[in-house]
Amino acid sequence: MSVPSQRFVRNTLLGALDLRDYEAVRAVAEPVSLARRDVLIAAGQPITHVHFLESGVVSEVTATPGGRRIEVNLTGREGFVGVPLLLDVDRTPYESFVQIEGEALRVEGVAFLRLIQAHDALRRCLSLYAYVAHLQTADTAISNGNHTLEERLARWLLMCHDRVPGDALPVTHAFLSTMLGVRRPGVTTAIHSLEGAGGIRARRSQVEVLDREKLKAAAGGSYGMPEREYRRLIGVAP
Amino acid sequence: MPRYFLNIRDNDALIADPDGDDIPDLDEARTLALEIINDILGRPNVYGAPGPWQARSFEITDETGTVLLTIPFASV
Repeated sequence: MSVPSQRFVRNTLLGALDLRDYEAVRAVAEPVSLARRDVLIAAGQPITHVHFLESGVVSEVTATPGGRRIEVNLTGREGFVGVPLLLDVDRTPYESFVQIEGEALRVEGVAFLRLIQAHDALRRCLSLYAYVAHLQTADTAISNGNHTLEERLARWLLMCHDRVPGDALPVTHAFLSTMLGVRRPGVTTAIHSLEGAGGIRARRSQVEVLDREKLKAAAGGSYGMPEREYRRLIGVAP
Repeated sequence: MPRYFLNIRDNDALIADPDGDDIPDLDEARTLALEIINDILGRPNVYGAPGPWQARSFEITDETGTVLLTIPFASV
């Protein structure tokens, strides 16, 4: 594996940069494979690298007081993992791990700090993303507090669908129950109901998206604001 | 450890548990099912109004699909 030329890069942020800024990233980036459950940022530990995702999905999770894990952010090839480093923060209480395998271009922490000091347009682009990521987390909190489990599941499936090629999402019910912070039968029942509405088809360890518009309707308005802001601020579709 | 499936009976529909859980015995499976029912009925802000849930039952099966135990949500 080598770092692709900008024409072939799949990360949306890197694709949106000026060629000079991209080449500066390319000079210090290293391609890596992301296996399911790889931890990119360990809770409370120094952040060693930022990862620009080329494919796959990374979840940021926290533990509830009851010890259950719940997702606070989801990143795919539209973003990068390591926002704290951009903000001059060396560690975070949350963990980021790979939930759908893929590839990334990673940059070591010190090299990353030099990059954003020397390339203001790059720093600005990543800051816009950091803001959209904040909106996504805020929307997740709003949706956890105000939307039904079925609506939250529909929103999550749409966000996951945005970040994987094709329509088959490799997720188990157990996995979804962790992401949404609920009991598995709650997820199974919500999946059954979304299936009944024609939005998805569930298989073992897989959910196939059949009709995005139906899923959007089922999300009850909980999906879409961060995606619209991404388009408005960064100027390309996430 | 045997695997038990906590399927949900919703009137005519059977909502299958595709993954199952590895649990020491049926008593433990019953305990888990009761815990889940209490959690679901006790947190309507997460799982929705108790009404529709109270019309459902857990149908616990083994790996061959034999129904070993039925627990109506309304019985808890």
